[in-house]
Amino acid sequence: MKILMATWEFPPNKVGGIASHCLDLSKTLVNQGHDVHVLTHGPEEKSFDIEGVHVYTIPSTGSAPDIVSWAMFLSHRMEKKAVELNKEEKFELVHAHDWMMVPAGVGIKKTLNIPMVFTIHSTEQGRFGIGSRMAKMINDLEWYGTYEADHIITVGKDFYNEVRSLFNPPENKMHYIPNGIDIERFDTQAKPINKNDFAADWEDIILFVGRLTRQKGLEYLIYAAPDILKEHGEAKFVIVGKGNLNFYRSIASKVGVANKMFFTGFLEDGIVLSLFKQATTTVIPSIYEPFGIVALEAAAGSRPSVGSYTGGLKETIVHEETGLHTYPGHSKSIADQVNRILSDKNWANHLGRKGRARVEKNYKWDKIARWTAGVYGKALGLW
Amino acid sequence: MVERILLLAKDFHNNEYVKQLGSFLAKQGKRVDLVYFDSCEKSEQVEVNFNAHSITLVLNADNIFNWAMLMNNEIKKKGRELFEKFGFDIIHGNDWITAPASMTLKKLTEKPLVMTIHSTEHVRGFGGPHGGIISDLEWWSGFEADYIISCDDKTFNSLRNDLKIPDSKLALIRPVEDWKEKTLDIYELVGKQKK
Repeated sequence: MKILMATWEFPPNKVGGIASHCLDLSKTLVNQGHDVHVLTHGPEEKSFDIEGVHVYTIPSTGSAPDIVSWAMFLSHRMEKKAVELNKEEKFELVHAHDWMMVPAGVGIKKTLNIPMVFTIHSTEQGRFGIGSRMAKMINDLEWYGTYEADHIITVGKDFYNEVRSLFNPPENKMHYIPNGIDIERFDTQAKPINKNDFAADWEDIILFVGRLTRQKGLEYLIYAAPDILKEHGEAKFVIVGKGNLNFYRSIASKVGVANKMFFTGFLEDGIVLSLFKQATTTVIPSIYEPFGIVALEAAAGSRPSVGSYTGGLKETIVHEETGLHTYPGHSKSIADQVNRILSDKNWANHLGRKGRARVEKNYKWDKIARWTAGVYGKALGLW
Repeated sequence: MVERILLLAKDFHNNEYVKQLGSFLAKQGKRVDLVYFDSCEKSEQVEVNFNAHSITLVLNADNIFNWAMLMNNEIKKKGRELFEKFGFDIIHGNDWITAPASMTLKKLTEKPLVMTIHSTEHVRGFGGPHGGIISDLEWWSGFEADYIISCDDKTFNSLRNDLKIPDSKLALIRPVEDWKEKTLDIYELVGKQKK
């Protein structure tokens, strides 16, 4: 199939998880014999190939007063590029990711008269709530994407129900396909690290990886830290990710754990892969998580995770089999479960091994890409 | 010879420019199809050779810019469908509000694009938060169009000096008695250039 993908972020431009998702999906589709072209944002118009995937970066405008207008302008320029490329390529369908690419997806669908597949990775309602005009517009665009798309992919089972109840699309065009994970990366691309750059030899790393935003619930882990340290003074919290560092540092100081909490900021992929493997456990204290890829990344590193019983984390962690669940937004619950892991290292190792086996069985990109191609086939009326 | 014209405008019934131009062209024996926004989708014959097709949008937007960008997707669809049936010789867009569809349809069909810019954001004074991005669209439509028509001196000077549109593709056609004939002359000119 000849697939045109539209995503506002794509490596090397990575902000959230959509960039990795789109790269892994598109390169696996290429390996399976499909021809994949990706339109994405970049500071200048250029094209290059990554592992057989044809990538085109398109700038937006410096004059947009807000993110929605910026996405609209970017979408328009992407669609013009799509029309140019289509003269040679003759795309069969467009696959748009998240609300920012809804105008591009719909514009390309209507201009080229090809089907549109829409993957919705999270909703504005879940991320921030609908508390402003702009949030309402983003929510409306998400609805519009589900309305215009021929088929909709949601990345979590719980999230499938969230999208259904929020936007009410016909069930026969909705699909649940989880995110995949590139397990081989953990074996081949993890960079050697010096543990002492993050913790002392005798310390156990408790890892957090994610954007430092309200949705990720980092403050609940910080508030749990004193109870963890009371029982396990050897714990060291390593916080990886960009965002409002000062805000979270100030909470850590307030609760007296600043010297046990290392905020690394952004780290390159290879180092994060090693940290997943080195950490005693990875904590995912999210209050909203449509999928919860971090739990699978921890599992791919053969380590257990402790995550909120919410959204996709209900699936990506199997309680007492690959990790432990906590009540969402509940610091005491986080402390209790992290303490269980730290108190029984053999059991923690066992959970890690089970997690790795589960990821290998269920979440390899090869399988996920085949499911996605199945949805493409439905959109094209092949079956 | 230009025989079939696709006109794009935000509205029709209150738009004298589009009404008069469409009617004049139809009387010259040209086929004119206008795509415009309305509260429902319909096609009607305005007079012999002059058909008007309204499109609509299923959602509201929080401001005119975002609304226009989404509304243009519907114009593109209707424009493409009409192109498939009638194969126009010229696309004629009006103002920034139809610029995205005008530019996209030009790329899709490789037919010449004439834009009438009735006023620029520079002339209007950048009154709202979207003034800058609207001005960017005006620049892009000036860049991609084969010919740009302005209807008054202020706008003509703004297109020339603020948006740096070269004189070679810029016309000032004031709304006096022969403006419709002059517009048709521009169609013929860009039609020939394109060939």
